[in-house]
Amino acid sequence: MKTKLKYLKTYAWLFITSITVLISCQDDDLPEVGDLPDLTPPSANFVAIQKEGTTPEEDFKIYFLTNQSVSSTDYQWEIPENVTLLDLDTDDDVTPSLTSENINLEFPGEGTFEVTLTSSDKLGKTSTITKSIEVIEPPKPDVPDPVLVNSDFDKLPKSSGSDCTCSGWINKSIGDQGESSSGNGGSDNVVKFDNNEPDHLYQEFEVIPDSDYTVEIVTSFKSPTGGSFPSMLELRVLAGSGYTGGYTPTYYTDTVDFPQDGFGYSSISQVEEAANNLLIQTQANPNDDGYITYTYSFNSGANNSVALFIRGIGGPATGGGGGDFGYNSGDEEIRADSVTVTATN
Amino acid sequence: MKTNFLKILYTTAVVSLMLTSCSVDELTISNPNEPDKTPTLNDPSGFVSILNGMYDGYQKIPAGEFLITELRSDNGVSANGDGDFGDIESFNMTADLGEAANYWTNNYKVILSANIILDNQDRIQNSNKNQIIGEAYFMRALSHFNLARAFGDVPFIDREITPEDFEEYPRLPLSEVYQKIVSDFNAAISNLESFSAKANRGTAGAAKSLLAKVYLSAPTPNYAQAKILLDELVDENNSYGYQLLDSFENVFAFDNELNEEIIFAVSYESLSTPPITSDARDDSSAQVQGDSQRFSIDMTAAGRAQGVNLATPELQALITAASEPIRFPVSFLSSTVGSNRVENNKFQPDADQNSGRDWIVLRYSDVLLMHAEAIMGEFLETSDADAITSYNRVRERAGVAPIAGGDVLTKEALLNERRVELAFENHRLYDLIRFNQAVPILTQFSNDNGYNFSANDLLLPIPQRERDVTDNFYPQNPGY
Repeated sequence: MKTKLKYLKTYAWLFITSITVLISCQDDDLPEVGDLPDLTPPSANFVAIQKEGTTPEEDFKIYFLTNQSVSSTDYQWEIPENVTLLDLDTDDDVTPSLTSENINLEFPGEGTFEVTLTSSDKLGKTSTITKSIEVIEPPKPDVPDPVLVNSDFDKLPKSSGSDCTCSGWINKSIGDQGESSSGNGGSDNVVKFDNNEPDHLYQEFEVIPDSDYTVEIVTSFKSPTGGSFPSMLELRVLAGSGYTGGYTPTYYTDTVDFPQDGFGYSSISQVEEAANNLLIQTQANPNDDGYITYTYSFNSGANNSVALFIRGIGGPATGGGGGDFGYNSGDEEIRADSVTVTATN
Repeated sequence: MKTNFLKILYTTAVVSLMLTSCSVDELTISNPNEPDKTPTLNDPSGFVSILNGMYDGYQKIPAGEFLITELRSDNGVSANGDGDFGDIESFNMTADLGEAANYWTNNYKVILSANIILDNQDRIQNSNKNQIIGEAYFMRALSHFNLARAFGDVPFIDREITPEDFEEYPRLPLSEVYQKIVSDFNAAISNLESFSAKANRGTAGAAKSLLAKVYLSAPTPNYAQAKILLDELVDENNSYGYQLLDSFENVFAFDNELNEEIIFAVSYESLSTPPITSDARDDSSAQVQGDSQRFSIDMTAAGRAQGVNLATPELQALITAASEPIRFPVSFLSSTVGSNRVENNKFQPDADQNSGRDWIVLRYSDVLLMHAEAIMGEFLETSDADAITSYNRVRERAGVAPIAGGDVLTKEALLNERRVELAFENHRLYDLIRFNQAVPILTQFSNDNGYNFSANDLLLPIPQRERDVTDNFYPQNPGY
């Protein structure tokens, strides 16, 4: 019996030793009585989702940061100084802070920003993750080039009257038509703004709102005569918002289909209304009768339709050689070989 | 003394052996109730039966799909916010969400039927062998597409498996799941191209339409491929005969089901007896409600505790009698407009509670709007004439102003058009996700209504049940 007890004692001793050995294998530094190991320590993680708004375009700077940590109860975010913490729910009493589970941020603009989330549990264990957020403005689609008809000023049929390099470019309410002419190495291939006449070009075309466009026009001025009325060429881009009320533009594809009157602009006062002008450029005589390329640019603003209006100016307001529109070209002839409008992408 | 020592040794050994034999490796149990499929597979009508079983399985999916899509969006709300409904609509879902488990199971059951056909396709003797194979690919693709959108990374099951095989099928990265879905839909198209069928079966046209949606929904969308498929379908003389009906109302008319606008629908027949309810269990002739077309009744005051999938105030504000003269009366039941509970009118029960109303999975106006979406691609707007034409066809049919030539179509306008045109048709949540608008719009919606939305709610929890039986083999989605 005594021996039996002795064995039992040995076993008990062995047992206690083993338990002690097992317990001391835990990595818990200073276990308190009754402590259990933290078998599910926190693991920090989050996702950042761009607002990528439809409108307004500033939306792309806003990000929704959503906590995806595991086994965590408390959170501490670190964000760069120039990044703003947003309160998207201003109706409630909760003011977001850097200890909220999910936060919303506004970045100052494009760039790469580091955001850190430290998540912890109630045992004080923590886990940290840092992510680089690359803020990129969403791409915009390429704007298509507008379609101008007879932009090379070829001698083509009109809806009435004889063929003209000005076909497709006539608005009888605001000027006389340009004249067919030759130059720049061709024949019947340029349009002429005759001296001392109210000659013009006018055509409406379709644009994408809020887009940039480039106008390129190739012109030639006759050498200055030295008179008191030097000719100048004026080019305007007129907003569709300034069209006569109720007018809807039609975009013809063939010069023969173009009417010669009844367009969106029907008076010079309407043309000269400042608010209607997206672009006004004036070419002075370059003292070189060769063909020179001029490049301008404009933004379409809120318009989906605009009109290009080009005329010779510099002469006396009245008493010229043509109709009475309150303007005339000056002493020299001007010719244009082509005009193009392209989207600036 | 020695004997005692030996006894202890012996006991220890036995206990150790017992413990060891508890490990799973060698334990096999055969199921005495396992049906023998051999006679079915040797009978030409057998494959038709399996095919019918596959569609029968899919009939369960619309019964609960609206709960995890419309209710989880800013379109639908339940009358009382009870139970799962309340958890879903207020974005307080947990890992034991019953509707998530149902959706998981029902879709994988369809996949099982499809796999039985595909595994045994060499034995098919039927003259329309390719059609049977094509429909199996079609349904396997569609169910995996459902699962991928609902749960994110999911196992793609490509053969008939038993519960022991689960470790061969982990949650696959979403991009791989989508690749396999694309491959299945392509197999469906090539097998089905020379067959035509009503829109309640898988067809080549439906496979192309759904494949386009897959391309748009993939983690890296393939807008170019989607556009190629949709260019063919938006043609007014497309070879599948799909067209936009002149009347929006007729799309949903009960006597006009499977019309030319319907690309794929789940068909139901009216029951001669009411679906069984808790107080009528002894009526043996009644169909069990869960097996039938139950969504119609559930969406009314007569079902599911006074109705679920009622219009949110936000949806009511968007679709008004003034702004949408044609779509308003078709979308909302007029008798309920103005009260707090506005019922969906697209899927009202046809008579009593015995609804045989079809569930529309995809229809032609969705194809037209996807066409505009594919052309817009990664951009926030487009001025492309084809995109605007497709968009305007849907607008004009609905009697609302089209956008003018030269104007741009914005992503916002397209998303809103989809919301109005396809309200209550289970598209809204996935539209928001596809358009990258789910987080901003649902955050706002949640803030306005005192809900608890976060980006983690865009994926359902992997059903806890599935994790329990697989020893947590499937990692849980974040936030659950």
